[in-house]
Amino acid sequence: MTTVAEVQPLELREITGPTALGDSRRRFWELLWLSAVTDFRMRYVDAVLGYFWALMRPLITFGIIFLFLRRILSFGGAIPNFAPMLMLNIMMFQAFPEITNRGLRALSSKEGLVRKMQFPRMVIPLSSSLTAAMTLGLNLVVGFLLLLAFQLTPTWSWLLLPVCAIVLVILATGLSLFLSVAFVRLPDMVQVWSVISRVLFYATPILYTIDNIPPGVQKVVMLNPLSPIFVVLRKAITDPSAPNVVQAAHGWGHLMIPIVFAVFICVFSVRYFVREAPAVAEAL
Amino acid sequence: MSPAATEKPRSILSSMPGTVTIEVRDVYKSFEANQGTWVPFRERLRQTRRKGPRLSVLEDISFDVHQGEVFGVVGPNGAGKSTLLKLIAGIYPINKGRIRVAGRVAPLIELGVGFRPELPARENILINGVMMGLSPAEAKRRTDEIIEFAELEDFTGLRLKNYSSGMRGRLGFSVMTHVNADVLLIDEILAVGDKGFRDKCGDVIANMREQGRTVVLVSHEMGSINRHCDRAILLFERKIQRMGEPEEVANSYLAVNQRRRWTAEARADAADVAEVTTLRFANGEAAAESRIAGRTPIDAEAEIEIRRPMRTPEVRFTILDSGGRPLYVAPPRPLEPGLDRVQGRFRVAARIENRLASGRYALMCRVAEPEPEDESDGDERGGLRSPGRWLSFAVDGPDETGSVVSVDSEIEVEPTGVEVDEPELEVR
Repeated sequence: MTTVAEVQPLELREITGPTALGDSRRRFWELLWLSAVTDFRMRYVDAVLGYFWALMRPLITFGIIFLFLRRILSFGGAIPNFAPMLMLNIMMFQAFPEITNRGLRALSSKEGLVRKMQFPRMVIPLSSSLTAAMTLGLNLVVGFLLLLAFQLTPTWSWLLLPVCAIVLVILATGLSLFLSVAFVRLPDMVQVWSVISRVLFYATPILYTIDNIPPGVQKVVMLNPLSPIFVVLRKAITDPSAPNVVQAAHGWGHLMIPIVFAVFICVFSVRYFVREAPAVAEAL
Repeated sequence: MSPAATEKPRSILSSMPGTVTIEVRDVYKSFEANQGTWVPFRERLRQTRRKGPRLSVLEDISFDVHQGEVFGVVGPNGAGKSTLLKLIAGIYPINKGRIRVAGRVAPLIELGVGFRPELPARENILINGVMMGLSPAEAKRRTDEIIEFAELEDFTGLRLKNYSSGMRGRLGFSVMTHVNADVLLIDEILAVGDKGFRDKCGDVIANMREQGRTVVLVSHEMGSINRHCDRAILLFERKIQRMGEPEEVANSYLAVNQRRRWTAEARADAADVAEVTTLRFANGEAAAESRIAGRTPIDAEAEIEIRRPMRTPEVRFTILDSGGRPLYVAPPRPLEPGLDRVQGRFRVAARIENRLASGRYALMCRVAEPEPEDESDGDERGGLRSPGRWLSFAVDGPDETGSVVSVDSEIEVEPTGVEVDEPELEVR
């Protein structure tokens, strides 16, 4: 039996209930990293053909759309490097529904954990989006090789590829924080979000380029926070002669709208999550 | 309960009032009650600001738990035990009041929460360990120890989904007890698992106490509270009904259980018709202390008053366990055989053979009209009956762990060819 002297009296600490970030930063990051890596391994390394599908999905989508647009509708002939552009765009955009849809269900699928364990709540949606970001990273490595196979020559501006990917991931992660809590409260969120993300797909210059749509529509498309990412991507990688992002948005003033919107979404989502996280266990 | 068993090793620390490790003050907790009704869209998304009808679960809860103490929380289902545990663990936010805890808390609300069935034991230990606040390196260092404690050395290659639920439970328990928590919150898990596992849990609790750590043990079973706890509270109808020695709390719990049982049955009860006015033990010392030695017959005396005529009333004695379940129902004895309508006062003396194992029981007495049909399915409807009066008592006997009855047994072993090369094998 230990003696009294060996036992150090610990200080009383107030229990305030669960929080989004927890009280130890170290624990937060360790847990986030571990859980994202484990998920990634489970999905792609331990599963037969696991990563193969993660790669094939965007490539098959690309193949079908390319066949349809280019060969059947004869669209895109005037766009330089249309095929590699389409491939890259689809590969990149894929991460957006991937992150947001997984994020949407993240909290409710880990119900047991949320209701029976004390840990920083934000780890759950963040780790699911980190896993998706890893997949995107891996896909982009393959994408890079495919770009070379399309006989494009790398330039310094290709460094914008990871930058664009990071911006996309941050925006999607921000949204998924909001969606994860909103879904717990409002199961209809699945339908609502699937419609919205479909609209976003067509309202982003993915299948088309910003300069081959009417100027009026251009302005509307450029309101979408995702659009600047793809405009930058195209100019940096497949078509240096394409309009830059300021030109595409018809000036800085108009470009500020999607940027401010994106920042607002992220800030609002984080704040919403932090505020609602303590109560989420009760609502599950 | 034998005298040896009641003298459990109390912690030296629990007597030190200075070292409070869990401080609960005026805590209130309620949940939203408007499930299923329409809530406006905006409101729905803003849970924390909503002002809807709420269901109160805990009210005015205050207590202290000291370092090195094993603290029991008992109460019937839905009394708020698990909610209280989740509040201490920080899983639910508190509505009002304050909880302060010294050191790290490990909640064992369900065993194996957060396990990923697709992964083998080691990976799961790592994830769970880190979730409980260990560093990844530390969690890896303890993995072997954890697997050994869970007795799963031969199954480390298996994915968790191929484990039996008992194995998963053992692994979960093992992880939680190896995360160096200062406060361990245990919810009902002693009820699951085989005897070996329960013994192991008991050892862990004893160890925690010795190391000056704190354990809160939630159970609706008085046995484990009596066995492990230094102090206990009884939660009932959202409030602490009783706090003190497990023994006292056990008594109150029994009372609460009886009350609940009888309120449910009260539709047929008719106190204005008949009443058992007194019920007491006739054995000398038992009368004072409500303790009966093992194998000593239970002598009870009851006084009965029938205020309005009853049809061939009979007196019934029942022995219940601490959960309120009947263990023995004595054959009903008519008060006035042959008389159809009976009224007046009666004195009843009962002697019931005592075959009870050591533990805590209650004796119940009531007057009732016989059931119309002789379908004794336990559901006594039909005839008039008095509310039951009951008396709780403890049976002190030789410790027969896990038994309800105490009967004689003789077990003989005759060696018929012993292999001598195993030194551990001992044959008498």
